[in-house]
Amino acid sequence: MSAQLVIETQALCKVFGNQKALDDVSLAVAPGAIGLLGPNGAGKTTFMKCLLQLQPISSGSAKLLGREVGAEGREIRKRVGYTPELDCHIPGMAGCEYVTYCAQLCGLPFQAARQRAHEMLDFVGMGQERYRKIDTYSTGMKQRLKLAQAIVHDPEIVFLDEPANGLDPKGQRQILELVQSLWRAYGITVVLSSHMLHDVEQICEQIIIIARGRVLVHDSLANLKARRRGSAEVVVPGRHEELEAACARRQWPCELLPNGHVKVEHRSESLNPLLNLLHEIQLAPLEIIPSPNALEETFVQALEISHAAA
Amino acid sequence: MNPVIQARELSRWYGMVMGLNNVSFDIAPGLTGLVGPNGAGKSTLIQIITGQLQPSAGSLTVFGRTPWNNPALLQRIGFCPEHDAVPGDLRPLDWLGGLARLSGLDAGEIPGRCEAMLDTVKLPREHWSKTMGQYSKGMKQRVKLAQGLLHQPDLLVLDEPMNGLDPMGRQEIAGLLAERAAGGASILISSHILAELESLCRNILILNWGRILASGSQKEIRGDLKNWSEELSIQCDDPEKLARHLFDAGILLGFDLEPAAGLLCIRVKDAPSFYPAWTGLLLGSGVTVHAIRSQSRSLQNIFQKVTA
Amino acid sequence: MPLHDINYKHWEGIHLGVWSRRRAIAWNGLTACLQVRWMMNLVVLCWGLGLAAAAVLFLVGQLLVTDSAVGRWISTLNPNLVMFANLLAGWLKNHPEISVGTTQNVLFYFMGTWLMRVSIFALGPIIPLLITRDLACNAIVIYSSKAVTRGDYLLGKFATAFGFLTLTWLGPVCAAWFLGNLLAPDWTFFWHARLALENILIYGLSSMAVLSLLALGVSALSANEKTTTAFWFMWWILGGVIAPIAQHTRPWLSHLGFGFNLNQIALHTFRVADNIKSAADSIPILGAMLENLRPATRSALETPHLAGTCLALLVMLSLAAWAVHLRVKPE
Repeated sequence: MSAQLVIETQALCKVFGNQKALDDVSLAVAPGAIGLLGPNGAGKTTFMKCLLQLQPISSGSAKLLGREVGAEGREIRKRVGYTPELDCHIPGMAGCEYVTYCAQLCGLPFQAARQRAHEMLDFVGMGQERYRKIDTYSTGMKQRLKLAQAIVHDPEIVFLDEPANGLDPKGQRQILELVQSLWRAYGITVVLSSHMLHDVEQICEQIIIIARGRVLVHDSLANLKARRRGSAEVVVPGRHEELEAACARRQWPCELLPNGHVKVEHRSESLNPLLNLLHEIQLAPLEIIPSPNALEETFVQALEISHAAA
Repeated sequence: MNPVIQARELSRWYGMVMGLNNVSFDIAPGLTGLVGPNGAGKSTLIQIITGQLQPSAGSLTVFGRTPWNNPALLQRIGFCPEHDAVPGDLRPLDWLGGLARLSGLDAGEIPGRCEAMLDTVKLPREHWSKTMGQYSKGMKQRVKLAQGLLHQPDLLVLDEPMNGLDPMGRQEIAGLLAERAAGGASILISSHILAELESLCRNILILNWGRILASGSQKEIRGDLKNWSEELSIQCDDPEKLARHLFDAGILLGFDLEPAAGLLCIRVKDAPSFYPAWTGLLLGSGVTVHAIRSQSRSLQNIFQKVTA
Repeated sequence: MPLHDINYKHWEGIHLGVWSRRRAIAWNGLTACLQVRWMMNLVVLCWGLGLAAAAVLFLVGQLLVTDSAVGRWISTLNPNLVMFANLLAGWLKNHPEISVGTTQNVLFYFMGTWLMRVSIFALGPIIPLLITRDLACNAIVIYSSKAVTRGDYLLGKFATAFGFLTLTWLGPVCAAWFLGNLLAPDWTFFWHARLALENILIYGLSSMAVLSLLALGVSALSANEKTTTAFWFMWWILGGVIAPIAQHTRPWLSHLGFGFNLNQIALHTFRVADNIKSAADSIPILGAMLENLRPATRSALETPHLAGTCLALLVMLSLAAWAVHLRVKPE
C-alpha cells in the first residue's frame, strides 16, 4: 500500500450563483477509512461531487489518487467507486447484467467483467436474486447491488453516500461489516458520508467535518476521543442517587441522562479511580463507556465554533 | 397505569398475504419504540392505529376506543408518516393553517400556533416563504413533524422521524420528543436506527413476520431471554493478565483475547453472583481499565437474539 | 491448497480502451431496444420486406430474358401481351442502363422511403430507452462516475439508434439489392445496378444519422417515457399532415416535419424524375404511359432544391444538440 495521499485539495472553491458551497478547502488525506460528516447543505455532498467530477470546480485544485481531477477524469474514475444516496440502477436489467455492464464501463473486457460481477455479488451476499430484474429488488438488495457495482472494477478508493439508508437493523449491520472489511481486509480506501455517527465511529479512523463550505475538523478518531478522555457514561442497575452523591464528594461533575445512564467527569487517564469509587459504595457497573458520544460532541462543538465565527 | 394502545388478537390480511397475525399487546404511556425488519407488519400496525385501516379480526383500541371512522379520537392522535407527503406547491404556514382548520382549532389562534410550531421544530425562518417543493429532505421532515404536533395530540405516531436529518437535527428532535413525553404525551416511534431508540425509549415492541416477538421495557425483555449469558468486553492495558486473574477466580464461562486492540471479551453464566464481586476483581487484577462494554445489553443484541 | 480463497480479490488484468466502452454502451442499448415488445417482430417484418423486394427484382430480371418461366406464365394470362412483352424485352436488353439501372433505382427509391417510414415508426418506442429512462432513474450519475465521459455516453447512444436503424433499414435494403442481383440472369446486373447501391448508401447513411441525432434530442426532452414517445409521433404525424397542405399555401411550413425533409433528400439522391424522363425519352411507348401519370404524382417526384431542407435539418439538429446539452449533465 503506497503512502501516497488519496485526496489532495488546494484552496478548492465551488460557487453556485452567489452562494459559496465550498470555500477555500485545503486537505491532504492519507489512505484509510475516512468519515465525512457535516450538516445538511454544508458542502459535504458538493465536496464529494467535485472530487468525482459530477460538478465542475470553480477555483483551486483537487487531486484524487495523485491525479488532477479536471484533467484526467477517465483515468481517475477507472480506480474510483461511488455509491450515490439515491437509487441509480438502469431498469429492465437483471442484477448480474447491471454489475457486468458497470465493469465494462470501466474498461474491463466482457469475460472478466462477467466473472468479477458474480464474484462481487457473492462478496456482498447476493444469491439467486442476481438473475432477477432490479426493479423487483427490496431496499436491502438494491444497497448491496450499489456496493457491488462500486467495487466491481477493483477501485483504490470508494465513496459511499449513506450506504445503510433505509435498511433494517440486520441489513445495516451486514452492509457496515462489508464496508468495514473493504479497508481493514482489502486495503481499499473508504470515504463514508453519513449522518449516522454511530456507524461512522465503528468503521472510520479518520474524520473530516465540513460545515458552511469549510473544513472544521480533520483528525483521526483516536485523537478526537483522546481529547475527550476523562468522562465516562456509567450504566448501573439502580441506586443512581448514591453514585451521584459519591461523585459529588470527590467533586466530579456528574449528570443523570434521559436513558438512565450517569455521565461522570472523572478527569483521569483510566477508569481505575472510578472503579475505586464504585467499589467503595459497593455498586457494580453493568457498563462503563469512556468518552461517549465523542464524535457527536466534536461535531456539535465544531458547529458552534463555526456559528460563532460566522 | 392504563395502557394507551391495546391490541387483542389483532389480525390484518391482504387476501392471502399476511400483514398482522393474531397479535396482542399493550403499549404503556411514554416513549415506545417499534422495531422490526422490513415487511414485519410495522406499517400495517401504524395504519390501524391511525385509523387508516380496519382490522380483519380482533381489536385495537387507542385510549379505549377504536380509531377507525372516529374523528373525535383521531383528534387526539398525531401522525408523521415516512414518505415525503408534503404538497410541493404550498408554503408551510399555508399547509399547517389548512390542517389546523381541519382539526377544528380556533381560527384566531391558528397563525400564531403554526408559527410557534415551526419554531419548535426549528425550521429556519428564511425558508418559510418558499414552497415546500424546494425543501431538502430534512426540512420536509421538520414540517411533517410540525403538522403531527400541531393539535397537541395525546398520542404521537412517528414513522422514521429522523430520516434525512443531520446529527444536530437528530439531537434537536430527540430533545423535542423527550420534552413532549415528559409533558404527558405518549409517543410511538417506528425506526430502524436502534442506537437512537435505545437512548430515547424505555419500552420496545419488536415485530417480525406479522407477529409480536417481544413487548415491554428493554430491561424486562433482556431479563426474559433464556440462556442469556452476560457477555462483556473490557479494554485494558494487559488483557492476558486480566484473563488469567478472572480465570483463577473461577467466574469465566469462556473468553476471547485481542491483544493488539487490548480487548478481552468474557462470557459469564451467572450474572447475579458475578456482579457483586466485579469491581473487586477488576481492581484486584492490577491492570489499568479503559472501557467496559456489554456485548449483550444493547438493543441491537436483543433484537438479534429475538429475531434469530 | 485445499481451501480456496473466495473472498474479495484484486484485479490485475488489462483495461480496454475507450472505444470498447462506447461499444459496450451501444451494444447494451441495442439489446435493450430489441427486448421491447413487438420490436423483434417489426425487425423481422423489415427483413421480410427486403426479401419481397428481392423477389420483385428477380421477377423484373426474368422479364428481360426471352423464353423465361415468367414470360410463359404471362402468355397463359393474355396471349396479346406476349408479343408486347417480347418486344419490350428485346429492346430493354439492349439498354441495360435503363432496364437494370433505372428500374432498380426507382424501385429502391420507393422501397427505401417506405421502409424509412416503418423505421421512424419503430423508433417511437425506442426513444425512451436512449436517454429518457436514464434521466428518470438517475442512471446518468452512474455513467458519470464510471470511466466514461458525457461524449462517450452520447456516442454510445447515437450508435444504439444508428445500429437499430441499420437493423430496420440499411440491412434489409442492402440485402434486397444484393439478393436481387444475385438471383438475376446475369452477373452484369451487379455492375449496372451500382448506381442504385450508391444512392441507397448516400440516402440511407445520411438519413439514419439525422434520425439518430433527432432521436437523441427528443429522448432528452423529458424524463417521462410517454412524453418523449408521444412527442416523436406527434412531430412525425403533424409534419406529414402539414407538408402536402402547406405546399400550396406556404411551402416553407412543410419543412417543419422531419419526414418531409428526409423525403426531399431521397428525391434529390435518387433523382427519380430525371430517371423516368430519360426512360420516357428512350422508349416512346413508356413515354406515353408515363404521360398518363397524374400531375400531382409527377410533381411530387420532381428533383427538389435542397437549400430549404438543409437549413431546416440544421435547425432541428441544433435544437436537438441543445436539448441534449442542457439535460444530460453529470449530476
